[in-house]
Amino acid sequence: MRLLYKALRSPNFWRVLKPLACLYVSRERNRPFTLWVEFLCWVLGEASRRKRPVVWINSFFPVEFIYGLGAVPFLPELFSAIVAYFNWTRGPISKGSSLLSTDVCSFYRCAMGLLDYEVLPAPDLIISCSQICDGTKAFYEALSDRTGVPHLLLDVPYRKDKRAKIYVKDQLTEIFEEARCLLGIRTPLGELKNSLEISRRTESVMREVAKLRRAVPAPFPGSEGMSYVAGMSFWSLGTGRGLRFFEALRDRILERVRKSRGYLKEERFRVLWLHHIRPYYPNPIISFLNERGVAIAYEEVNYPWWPITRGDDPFDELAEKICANPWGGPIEGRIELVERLIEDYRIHGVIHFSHWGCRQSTAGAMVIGEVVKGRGIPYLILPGDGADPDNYSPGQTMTRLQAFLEVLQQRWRFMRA
Amino acid sequence: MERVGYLCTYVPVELVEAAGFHPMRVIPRSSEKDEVLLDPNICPYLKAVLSQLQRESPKGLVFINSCDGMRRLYDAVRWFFPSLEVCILDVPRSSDERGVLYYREVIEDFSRWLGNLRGKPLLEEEVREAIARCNQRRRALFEILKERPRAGDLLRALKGGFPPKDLQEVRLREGEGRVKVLVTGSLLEADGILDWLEELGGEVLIPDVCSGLRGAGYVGGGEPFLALAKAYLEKPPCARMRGSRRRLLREAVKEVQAVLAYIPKFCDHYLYELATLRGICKEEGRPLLHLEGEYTVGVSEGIRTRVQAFLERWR
Amino acid sequence: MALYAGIDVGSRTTKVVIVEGEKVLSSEILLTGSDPRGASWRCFQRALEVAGAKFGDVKRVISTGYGRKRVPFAHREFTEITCHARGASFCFPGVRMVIDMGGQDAKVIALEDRGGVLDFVMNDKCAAGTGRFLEVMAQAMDLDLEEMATEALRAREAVPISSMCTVFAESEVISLIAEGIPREKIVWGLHLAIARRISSMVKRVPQGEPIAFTGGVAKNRGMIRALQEVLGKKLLIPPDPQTVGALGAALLAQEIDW
Repeated sequence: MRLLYKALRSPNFWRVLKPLACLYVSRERNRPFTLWVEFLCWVLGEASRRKRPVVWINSFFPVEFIYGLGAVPFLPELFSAIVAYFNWTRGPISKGSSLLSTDVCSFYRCAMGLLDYEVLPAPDLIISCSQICDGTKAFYEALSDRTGVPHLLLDVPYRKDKRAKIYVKDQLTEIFEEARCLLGIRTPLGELKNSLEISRRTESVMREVAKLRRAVPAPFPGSEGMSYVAGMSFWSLGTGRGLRFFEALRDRILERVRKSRGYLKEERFRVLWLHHIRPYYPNPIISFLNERGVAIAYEEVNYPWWPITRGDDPFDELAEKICANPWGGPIEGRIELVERLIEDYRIHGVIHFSHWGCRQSTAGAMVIGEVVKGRGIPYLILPGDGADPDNYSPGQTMTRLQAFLEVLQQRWRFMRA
Repeated sequence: MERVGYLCTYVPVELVEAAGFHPMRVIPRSSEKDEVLLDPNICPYLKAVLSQLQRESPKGLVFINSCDGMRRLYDAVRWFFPSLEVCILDVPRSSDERGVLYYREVIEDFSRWLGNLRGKPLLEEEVREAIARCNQRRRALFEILKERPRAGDLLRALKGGFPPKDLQEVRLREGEGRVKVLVTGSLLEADGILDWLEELGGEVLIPDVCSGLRGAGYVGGGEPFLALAKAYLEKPPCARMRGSRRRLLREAVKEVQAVLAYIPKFCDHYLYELATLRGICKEEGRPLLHLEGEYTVGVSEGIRTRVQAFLERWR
Repeated sequence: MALYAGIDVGSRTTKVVIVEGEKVLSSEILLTGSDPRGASWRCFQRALEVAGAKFGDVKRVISTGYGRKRVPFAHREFTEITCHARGASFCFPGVRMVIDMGGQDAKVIALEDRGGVLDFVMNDKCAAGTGRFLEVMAQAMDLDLEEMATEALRAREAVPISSMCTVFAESEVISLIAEGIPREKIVWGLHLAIARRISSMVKRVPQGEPIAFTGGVAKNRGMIRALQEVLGKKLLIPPDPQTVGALGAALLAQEIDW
């Protein structure tokens, strides 16, 4: 194991892995997925090469900012999800739990544990924004204490009016300067503008993808939307690679929609998956749904919430974007997106995945449930854990899913095929 | 006088008083908790508050965006108790000049909300008078702090609100304790724990808890909203705040011989800070006891035993 | 007429019900033990015998419960939620809510007017609120379940029990006994604590009446009293509460479009 960990930090590992991984993956003829693997190898390779400084950020901090700085972004939350996919999280989570507490999010515990294993590309700077949960400030501060690396916080207010945007913008300007100072780099502002330009174009393509996915039958699996598509949207926005990925994704989906091909052989129900994640370690949830014709037609994480901004001032633009995040502030943002998604994607049922330790989402599940059930749509709260396989109870999870399916059958029994 | 409840020490109570309401810190006296409306796995204090609201409602309730739980409680209360008048104050996480100016605007909006609640806008002189009254109460509190009050009594006096109106029940300690203790963490509803600690020979030098000495210091002169914003943001910070907390924590740890971290279950801010606190305690050579709070108003046998065992090393 | 069977394989007991039209021909219970497959087969055999039927007479079999996947001769499986809903609405047409308390889990099911499941909430994460909790407490007090129910029915007052965890409630009960608190107060306190927990689950689903109480624990008169008091409503108890799941499964076997 130790050898593998050492390898992960060596740039040569990524140089060799990239073409091999891409070759292996391209056999599936899934171009977007290949681009994802390529991107991962590239960004992790860059991080290990250390020619450019490595900045750790949380998922909702605008990653374009980091590319604009001339640095390489590393997202510990996403990396934990990838480690979960390979089912390697037990050790790091155990370690992280002893340093933190078993009551906090397993993605953060995993990242803390991995930090201890010295697997991760060491940060030169840590920047986080206080959206969308307490962990985004508290965990990154704890990281900073542990690594001795400075932590810059973008304090995003609860309210999102004009004054709030100015408050955010002023901080962004300051953080940019301070980051350049701390990292000793003098990338021109043009880089950031460029990065934002690409990000805008990418978001436009992402909007197209969202629209295409409204087709019946659902052309693209929500399970993948919640994994590498979301991953790209958090990590690659602002890069040419990110743009090409979403273009390839759009083209792939467009083709399926033209042929009226769904991703399931027979689609019986369309569900909406709430909360940004699902369990990433091997588990039967997705195959269970697939086998029974239950399509995850869309997922909360890919709701196209970014404003269509045009700006001269990059910090204005970023502040605008950050303040438009529907998950910060009161629950109305989330209610609105749930209602829109139910309409747009012709949803038959809603599953709210209540990830252990994620209070901002699970504590809202009852209110969201009232909204969903008020429309006569079956609603399931599915407790679980996105990264910790030891916190997963297969019997209980499957019983709830099966019962939910029975409710769906009951509710929509007069629906024509 | 009608009561307006509030849930966090960052709420400027002076304004509530200026509006003619009695500011009531919501610290439920019963351990009953509502497990339904939020989620079972959330801060027990919030669940206790929800349960309390089902029994009685104040005229108004003031929230703060202090944490995810509190944010969601605000949503749940608006959804399930629609007739209750509520508002939420947007406190910045930073007490620098920019933060103070931001909070000043928030406080001004708050005064407008209070004005609507009572049917008449607040007058500047009412605010100044309320500030003066509260400053006087602060004076009394700081005086008594110099004389070594018993921590349990102090917390009980502070439960009514900060600064406390009534300090008569606060008894003074008889002599120094064997062990000087820092109690740190979030809400401490079981002031009985502090009684127990002191009974066993400990001396709680600093109750660094939400229901303890985290109230604002003197509010200065000048424009009242700005003065309030400054006083409230610069007060002893809680773990949610950026800035001086780490340094202050280390200084506090150095002053004592033992540290007791009382953290409610599922309290993210303090649980993440615990990792750092452990590090500080290790470096400074101070033993640390971590107690998990479940919002039980009495002191359970389990807690008594743990505290006793912890203090037994100073025989 | 063809016969249909339902098998409910629980972690403690396995139940089989055989129906013919509107008639229940037989209903049998057996301990599951460590062999759900064997238990389901033996229980099925027993039910056939009582019904005076042969294996070939049974047209379709539906399995449910925790061990529903271990019944090789079942044609299909449904969850206990759907089966309890169906079983309860057969016993009480128009029932709108079912509270099911089994050996190791508790659930509350909201029904729509036609008897289908509208919403449900389950507690299968801890023993509090299940038959197991009552067993552990009975043992701690040196009573059997019958005696405990009698004490619960007799009590006028309760002593509040604060721990909801089975393990800690047990220690709490032992200390209360040592303090000399009358047994019936402790027993009643326990029953009320469980009833409050169930009441919490009831609040999470759409409200409706009448309410049926099913599962092994529904045979416990002390629990019936406690629930009725806490909910403030009268509960409908089926003649054989423990086999409602299997009954529902048998009825579903008869009704669904194969």
